[in-house]
Amino acid sequence: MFDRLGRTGALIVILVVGAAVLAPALWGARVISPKGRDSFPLSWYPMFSREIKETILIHHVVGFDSEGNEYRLPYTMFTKGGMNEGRARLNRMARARSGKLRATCKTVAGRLGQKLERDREYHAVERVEVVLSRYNPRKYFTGEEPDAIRRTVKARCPVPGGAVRDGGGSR
Amino acid sequence: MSLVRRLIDRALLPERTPVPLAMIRFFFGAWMAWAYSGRVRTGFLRTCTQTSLDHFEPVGVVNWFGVEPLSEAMLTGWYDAMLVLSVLFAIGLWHRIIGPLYGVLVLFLLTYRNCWGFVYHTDNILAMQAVLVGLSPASDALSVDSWLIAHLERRKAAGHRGWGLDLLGTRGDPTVAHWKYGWPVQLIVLMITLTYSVAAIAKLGAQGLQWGTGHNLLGHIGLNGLWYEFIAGDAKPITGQIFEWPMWVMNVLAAGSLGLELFAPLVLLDRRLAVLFILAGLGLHWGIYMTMGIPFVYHLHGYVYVPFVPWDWLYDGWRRFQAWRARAPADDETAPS
Repeated sequence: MFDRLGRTGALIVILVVGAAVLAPALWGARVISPKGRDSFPLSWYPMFSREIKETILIHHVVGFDSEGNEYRLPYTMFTKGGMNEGRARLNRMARARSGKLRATCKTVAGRLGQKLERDREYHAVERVEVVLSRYNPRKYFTGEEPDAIRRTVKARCPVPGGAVRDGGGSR
Repeated sequence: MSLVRRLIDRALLPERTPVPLAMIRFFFGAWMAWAYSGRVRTGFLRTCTQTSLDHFEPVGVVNWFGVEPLSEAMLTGWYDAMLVLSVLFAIGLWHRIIGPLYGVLVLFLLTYRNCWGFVYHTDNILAMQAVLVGLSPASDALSVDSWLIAHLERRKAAGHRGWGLDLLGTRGDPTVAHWKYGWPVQLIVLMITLTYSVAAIAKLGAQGLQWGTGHNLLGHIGLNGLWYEFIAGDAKPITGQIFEWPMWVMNVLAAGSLGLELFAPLVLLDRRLAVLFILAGLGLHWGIYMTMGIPFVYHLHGYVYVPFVPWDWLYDGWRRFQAWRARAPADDETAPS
């Protein structure tokens, strides 16, 4: 196809491709997506377009055994994709506020209730919570402040078979 | 010739032999056939067929054409067709037909994969490169097509019918340069380097030159580390150490990566700059992987830099070496004793 183009045609193709790649950065996200969302393969790299604050909020899923020990439950418990899909979904479900975090909580609890061999390290978990935690990465990774500055419980559910009261709230 | 015309010719329409395009075609197809089989294939199909439809958010061409979620059988069929076509693409068979089809198929499948809740920017270049190489005369040399054309032309010259010759496109001499082989390479290089520049523009748009101080880079490493720690199981052990590095190190890393990304398209002006760009790019992506655990797999293995390599120079050198080897014994035999 390209071999049939003359010099002018080649230059036009180069200009069009160059402008297409640059467009989202120069003229905004709405050039590639009417809702201003990220797109593919043309992108405006939204992750670089925001300032990262000193403290960071993250949604994640934790489990607790009967003695109150905490287990961090991985994204593989609630997504078929990778880690980034897992965290993106938690954030989106939290924004939607339509009870989807609670559904995710139940999905994880239901899976733990099956006592699968691959989940052996989590067999003691009796309660699952989807939480929103605030951390200072510098203090967390240097060991200065390993606990969350603040944590809000967004959904709480018992693992089937456990004797934990169902509910939701904050602590 | 005017200065502008000379600059355009040098940067965008240079004369090249068909060898660089052929090497880009070969490495791209070989990469796709290798990297997208096995576990990656399983993960791809699992994500796109077992994820709840609630998470389906069409992007790019999937959005433009209003494509609905595909059945498992259909998606598996398309995916496996892409793997087979990757091999045919790599060896350069029926490129005139397979090239464009393959480009569209790779673009569609990679876009479809990104419709399930998260856009993987690591695949941006891959999807665009598939289309551009697919539309280029990339099998005019070092390909099954070029061998078939030579074979059929010999048969035709000997009075036989040259069946299928029309389907095969053209054959190029690997030693003869022409701008029609140069501009697609520069187009691919432009696309790749502009992709880096867009990332730099995004950083500058949000923070201006403040990005170069390294504070935001440190913030990204911390944010990413927290995600790995709480959602994936554990962060890279180096994350804690990075927070104890002197700030000037982050300043150098942030400013260096910003400069590399922003000025990447300058490699179009001088091929010798490509060597620096390849080394710096590999350093950038290996650095990102080691500090943040983000695997730009295509970049980490160096395949993304194949279009920057002066394959025509290397091919010419190899031919000279072969000629020297062939001549050397004869010279020895004629030498006086």
